[in-house]
Amino acid sequence: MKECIAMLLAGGQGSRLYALTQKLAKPAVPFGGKYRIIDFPLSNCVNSGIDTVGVLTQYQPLVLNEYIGSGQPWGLDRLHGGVHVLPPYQTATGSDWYKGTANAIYQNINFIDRYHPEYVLILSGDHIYKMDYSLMIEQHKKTGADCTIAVLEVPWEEASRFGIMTADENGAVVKFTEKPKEPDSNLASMGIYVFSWDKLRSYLVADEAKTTSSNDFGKDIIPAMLSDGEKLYTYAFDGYWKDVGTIDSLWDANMDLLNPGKPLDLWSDEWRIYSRTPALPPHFIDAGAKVDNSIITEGCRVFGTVENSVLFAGVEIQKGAAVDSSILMPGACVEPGAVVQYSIVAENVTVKTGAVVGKKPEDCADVDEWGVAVVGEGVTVGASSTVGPKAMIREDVKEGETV
Amino acid sequence: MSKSAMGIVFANMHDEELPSLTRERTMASLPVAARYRMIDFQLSCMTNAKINRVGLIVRRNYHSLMDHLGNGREWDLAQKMGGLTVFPPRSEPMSNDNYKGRMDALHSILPYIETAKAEYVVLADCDFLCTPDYEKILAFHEQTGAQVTIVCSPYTQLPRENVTVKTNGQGRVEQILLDDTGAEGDLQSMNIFVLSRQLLLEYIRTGYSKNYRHFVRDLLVRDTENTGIYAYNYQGYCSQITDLGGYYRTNMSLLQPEQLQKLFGSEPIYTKVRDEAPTRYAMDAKTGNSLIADGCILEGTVENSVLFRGVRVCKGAVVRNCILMQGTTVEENVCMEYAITDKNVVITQGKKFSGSDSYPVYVEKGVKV
Repeated sequence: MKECIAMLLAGGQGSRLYALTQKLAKPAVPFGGKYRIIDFPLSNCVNSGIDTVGVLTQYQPLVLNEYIGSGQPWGLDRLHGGVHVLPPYQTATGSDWYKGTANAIYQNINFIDRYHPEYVLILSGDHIYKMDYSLMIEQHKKTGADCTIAVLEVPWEEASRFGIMTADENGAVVKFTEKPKEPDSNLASMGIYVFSWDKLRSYLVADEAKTTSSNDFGKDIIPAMLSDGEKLYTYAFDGYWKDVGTIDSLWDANMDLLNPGKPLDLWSDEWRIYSRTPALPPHFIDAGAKVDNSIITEGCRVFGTVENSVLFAGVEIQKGAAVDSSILMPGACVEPGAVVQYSIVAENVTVKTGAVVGKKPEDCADVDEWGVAVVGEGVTVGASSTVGPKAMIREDVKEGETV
Repeated sequence: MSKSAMGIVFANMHDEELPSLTRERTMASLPVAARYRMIDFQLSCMTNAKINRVGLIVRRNYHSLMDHLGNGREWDLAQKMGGLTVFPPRSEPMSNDNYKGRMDALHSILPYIETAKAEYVVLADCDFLCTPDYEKILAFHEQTGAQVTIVCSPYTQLPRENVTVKTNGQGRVEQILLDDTGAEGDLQSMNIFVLSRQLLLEYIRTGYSKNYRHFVRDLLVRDTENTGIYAYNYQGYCSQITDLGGYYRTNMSLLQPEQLQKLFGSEPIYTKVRDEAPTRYAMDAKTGNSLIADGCILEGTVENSVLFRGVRVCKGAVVRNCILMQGTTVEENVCMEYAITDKNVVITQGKKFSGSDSYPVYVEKGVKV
């Protein structure tokens, strides 16, 4: 018997991350020098006292499965509970992929029932934030709500990009609109829900019976509960929260770590983010290297120049190479004289001598020309080649080529 | 592939050589190379060679070591069959002192060795920073038909109260020299030995009945001629830590990329995971020729230094030729050179101090300067 268990929706493809999610589910995308996106919700669970987490996987689950493993890095290798990876499975009556977020939970009703929880916390694996879920659960209990939805105030001009909650003065939800053209509120749903399990269970069963339903929390379950007059409350969150579902937002969120104002502080002791780390030696900065406003982790070797960048484990920046405003994922290597700027370079990419990847905004004649360049996993960018802004590279770039 | 081996590691041997650094810890738990402790290298090398039954003999000051090791999981030594076993001192009802020498300590864990199934035993101390390949060493032991293999290296420095060996040129040890300050031997012993478990059991029983306490002096030296003793000439990174100066030089040697590569080049070295964030370099931080672990926040200048996890160097501070252990904070405008700060030291604003290359200043654990 657990008071609250968490279900983490980690099956999404993250198609708007293009080359970065060819072989990875979005929650497994590396972030912030030594993390993957899923470390944030998992660590939040543990730090909030939630010790049972079901991780629902579907798209390209191999890396994610191996990464989660026994759950030990997050302290989730528990005798009772702990972390469980839940892919779709076959039953006596057939089998089905997860058709939507609500259907994914529906298919795992038996898993949840085994713990007899009062409450179920629904999370997604594509946001970077630190949040104490126990406070939200506390509020859920106090208001006697059937469902509590975490919301964040967003700038009014951006409100039409989000699912918007309209609430009364007590925080009770009176209206929910997905991406409204003319928003009457600026409270955006963060995709974090606390449900009283009995209530959610009955809505999941009812929703499954509707053939027209898209089996989605935002599109189906929440509207159905609202129209039935169930008690839905908002829970106001005012910390750092970032959806990293696009190349630009992923790049921005990494750059936020370099902001001296520390909108997201990974260095404080009180709310650690845990991760599975490779066994690599400390990083080495050569006498001739220059490192400014950057984040560097174990196994890196820096002989060139690194500015405003995030280097993951085992990245090598050779003599005379220059890296600026970029994110270099594990094992990437930038050879002498090569330049990487305003780019995201995925795992085990080699940028050969003299190649130039990405472009500075100020060097672009036309503002629309500029964008973050992305080089996909394992790609070799040939010597003296040029990879332009906004490029999305999935295959090797030949020597001297311009793409 | 060689027959199986088990490991026995001595945590406290040589503590007295580093009184300041080992006041509250063992030689095995001495922090080294920016994020490790000496024992990480032995345990990792054993694990990498599939030696997965390891006994660790500790004598005193072992709290920090126990805290570091936990159940051995981080070295993949939390196993149903074997794994890591820590042996705190056995206190004899009739004696008010614990172990006197290596043989006495081994005798106290006799049942552990007797019940093991491994063919060979690797005995190792923790005073050499090195990454021996035990698979190769065991293969050498089998090929030569040695009864005892001593892992040796060319001299790294003038030996100090050290054991050296003279060989016949083919690896066979002809003479073992104790306290060989004149460097007469061909190679120095790295205090790592390989022998069959059966022979070790014999040695332990003989040693106990004849009151032999020292493995090398009382057993190996006594009968060098009739025992097939071979020296394995280890060519990897090797540095013995015999005093504070040696500790300083060992860490500093890793600032040479080829030495760093030599130590970490082949197999992974495991250590306790501390869930530190990556290291953050602030705007206008200056760093050169330094080895830096995770979790640091660097705003000042750091040159020719080794920084352990969670070190903070504030604006305007200058750190040169220093070793800063875990959690050291260097406040604004401090200028320090040739210093070793132990864990959680705070150097307050504007302090200036400096040691020298041969005599670095040492600041004790937790001190606020």
